[in-house]
Amino acid sequence: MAENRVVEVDGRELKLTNLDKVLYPQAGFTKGQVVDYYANVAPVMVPHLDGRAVTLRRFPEGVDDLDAAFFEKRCPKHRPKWVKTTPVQAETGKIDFCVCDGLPTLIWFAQLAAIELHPSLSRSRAPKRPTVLAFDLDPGAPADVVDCCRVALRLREMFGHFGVESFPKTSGSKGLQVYVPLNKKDSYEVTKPFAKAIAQLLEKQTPDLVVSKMKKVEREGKVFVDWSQNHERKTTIAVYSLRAREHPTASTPITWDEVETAADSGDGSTLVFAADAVLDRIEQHGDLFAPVLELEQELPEL
Amino acid sequence: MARAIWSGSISFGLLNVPVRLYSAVARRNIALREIRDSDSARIKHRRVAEGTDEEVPYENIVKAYEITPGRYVPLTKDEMSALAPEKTRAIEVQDFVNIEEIDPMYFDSPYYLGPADGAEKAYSLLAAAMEKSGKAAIARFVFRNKEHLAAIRASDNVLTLTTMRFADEVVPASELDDAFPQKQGKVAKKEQEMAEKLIESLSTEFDPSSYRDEYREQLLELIETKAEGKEVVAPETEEPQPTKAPDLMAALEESIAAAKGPTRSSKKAKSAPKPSKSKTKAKSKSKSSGRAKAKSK
Repeated sequence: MAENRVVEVDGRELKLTNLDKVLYPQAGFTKGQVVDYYANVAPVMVPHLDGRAVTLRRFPEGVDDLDAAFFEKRCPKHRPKWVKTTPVQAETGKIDFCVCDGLPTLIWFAQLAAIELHPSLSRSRAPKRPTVLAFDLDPGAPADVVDCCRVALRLREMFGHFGVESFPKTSGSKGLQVYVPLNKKDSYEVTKPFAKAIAQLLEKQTPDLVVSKMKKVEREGKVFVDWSQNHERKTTIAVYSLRAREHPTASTPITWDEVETAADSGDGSTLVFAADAVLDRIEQHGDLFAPVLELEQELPEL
Repeated sequence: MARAIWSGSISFGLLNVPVRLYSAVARRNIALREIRDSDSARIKHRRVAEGTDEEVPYENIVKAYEITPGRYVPLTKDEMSALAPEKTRAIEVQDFVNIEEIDPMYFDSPYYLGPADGAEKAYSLLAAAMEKSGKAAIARFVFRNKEHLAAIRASDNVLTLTTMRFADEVVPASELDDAFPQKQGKVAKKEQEMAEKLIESLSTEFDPSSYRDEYREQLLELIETKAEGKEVVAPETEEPQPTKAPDLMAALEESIAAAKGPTRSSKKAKSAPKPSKSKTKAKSKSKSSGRAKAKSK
């Protein structure tokens, strides 16, 4: 692959540079491969990003150089003119975030070495109305993804009592995330306290397994059920986004059967998917997260 | 002896009266410290770079003007001090005006002016002359690196200086366009007469000592009571505590227990009406668009 070249993507012209640069040193995974992954995952990924403000986490010097890495909320000034943006009211005033509405923008993100994409839980046309309720299950060592699976199954059961469906995905890092599709009118004012109450109830029922408070010291050996991301200004790693880990693993939708299997066997290694494996799974299952976009559900009134 | 915060001299024409400036405001705010609730450790504020945990030493902090979001023009301390008004020790009187003509909106902070050593006679003379004329002197002077406008007044052989806002610092009512009625709404004569009567009946001589900072007194009282080790019961009028979450959790627990019921099949009947409604909706939708779709691929 040539170092630099101008490509045409869906009628948009894009300059790709430094494609041979290794962004994942341990895995020898290059920027070109990152671009290639996002190009292939775009058909299933873009619908999950479309219409949402995205925070980019860029790794210009690769995933190991955290000093060079940065979060970018403001959509870069030098963007191609066809890249859409949306104004978001932040604490310090309005910020124009990037919006990914198609393959060209996704490729441009990859060109910026924006390995991680962190979208809002709501679409910008209804910023106070999240389309999902999200739980980020973060294991505090020595707890691991298997413990997260156990907590995720409890979450599914809890929501199941209300006839509400939920969907798991790996974080692409150490944990799991459970999304409860809403796609109706519940606002953050409803979802956040609800998520908090769920987390607190989980903690009350299984204090050895679950912690609902943010403090790091209390998380040791437990799964932190992070309910706080259900907030207008918070973001959660996008489904199918690569993560800045040793290997190019992605946040991958999984089935509840897979979660059960991991919880039963105690083997979490089956829940780690690198770029190629993610593409294979899409080939095989399609977008397991499609219902998250479509299913209309309401949280029960308490 | 009172501590002067500045010294210089009032000058106008050929007259030059050396004076000292004293604050006329007793800061009565109650200083409260921040501590951690669990162990009373003092809270320390650190200056860190945004988005990091890295402390920034004082010498690396510069002021900057944000031209457009994210674009800054840094201004060094040297550049700033080069611009600071020249330090003069003069309170230069510009004009004398009738006090009533000054809208109180222009007044800022009050100070006393006392005579410097050896200037007592000149000071008394100026104070007496000003009191007789009933006029205030409008003057400029540089204080704390800033140019100030001030009004000097005399009463009982004492000169006071009140710093003033410059004209462009006071917002004219016309700039708050929609804050005031555009056209005077027609007022019924009777109503206006009633208001006037009410004002009349409440009219009295202004006695500043009759108005007290009650909040401060109550706060002091609370501190004293607590310091003595007495139990303090928060009055009921206090803002409601955000205790909604634990209640919500209890409600959730109850609701789930009800939904669980004795057997799984009866959960629909036992759960609250609202949840069971959402259940049917969610289920029926998900069958068509949910898993079935994912599996069929």
